[in-house]
Amino acid sequence: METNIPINTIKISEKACEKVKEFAHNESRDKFGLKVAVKGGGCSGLQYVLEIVEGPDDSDKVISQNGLEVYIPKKAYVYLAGTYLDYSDGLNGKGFEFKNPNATSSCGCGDSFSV
Amino acid sequence: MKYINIDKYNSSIFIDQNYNSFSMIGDDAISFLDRMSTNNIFKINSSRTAITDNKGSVIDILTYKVINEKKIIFVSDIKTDRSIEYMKKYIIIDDVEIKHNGNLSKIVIYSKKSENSIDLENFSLISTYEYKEFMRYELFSSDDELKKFNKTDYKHISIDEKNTLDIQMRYIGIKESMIKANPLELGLLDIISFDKGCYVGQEVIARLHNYKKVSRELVPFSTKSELEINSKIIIDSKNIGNVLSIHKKADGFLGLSLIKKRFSYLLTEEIIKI
Repeated sequence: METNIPINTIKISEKACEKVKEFAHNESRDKFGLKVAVKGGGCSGLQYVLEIVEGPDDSDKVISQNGLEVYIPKKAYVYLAGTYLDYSDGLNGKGFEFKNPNATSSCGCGDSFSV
Repeated sequence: MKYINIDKYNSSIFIDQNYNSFSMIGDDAISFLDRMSTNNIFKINSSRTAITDNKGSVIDILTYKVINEKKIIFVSDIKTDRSIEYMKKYIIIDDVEIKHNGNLSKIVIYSKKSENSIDLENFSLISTYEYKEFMRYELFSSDDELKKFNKTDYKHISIDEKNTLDIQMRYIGIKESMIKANPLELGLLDIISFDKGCYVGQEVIARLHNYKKVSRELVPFSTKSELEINSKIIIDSKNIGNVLSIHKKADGFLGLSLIKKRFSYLLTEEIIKI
């Protein structure tokens, strides 16, 4: 696991990037990026949002990693700074996994977190 | 346990002032309060709901009313802005704004269930609590509403009498300094929805309820010594619980404790002499 992520960015693993590209390819998208956001909800109050979109909104911070553009809304950035996004597959894999240093706790299923 | 005969307080009234009221306004107002608290705000338009943290501990209890799909009014139990600030932390992309509305008075009425003839029409914020055959109503009113309300039909009681009734009815008002407790321990089962889905603290509360792991309960007690709120209750060197409220009476003190269930018989059978 990646541990030294500068707090002014988020990092996405090569495997997670490849998985996003695979999903986009399956949807026959030519131009796309990954929106990583936070919304209210879940047993711990805040939930991650992952969405494949065509491009960034005006207020999004744009990061490029492993050939993938990542868009983060400014309001969500304070909750996500320093986060590492990975992907685990296989029978016991959890899919996309967030390692978020801002999260003080998360619910059992890992879908939501508190700060 | 010997109770003071509650019959003589039938339809009693106590009026308290200076409760801050708030509005929750916006397209997401109802869904926001629904996912921040225990009750089902979509289904129940007027009631109480507990704000809990992600460990399921009660932060505050709100008496609320859904005015329309974009507006909820509410009053907070703890009388400070702590729970307002807590909720604001979870407003990110939601269209929700929490505004202070002004002060209201709280009217507390105690009556027997069968003698419920209280005219609730004049009040926008109402919560009810029942214990055995007794009812406890909380009505929040503006000065105008208070003037219209006929108070002469009720016996006016003092703060000490009110506190005594609350303890006997195992009713606890939430205070900012209260020790951590979940709503199941505090007897708030009637304001928890178990089928509405996620809210902050839901995972812990649902697990405690479903696996029957609620380990503490509210128990009244009396004592000759003045105990501090939150202080430990120790019997035979065992810490069996904490004091949640305590009030002076002529012959000592009366309180409400949060006690480990397996020890609660020690208080009810041996110590309490009300």
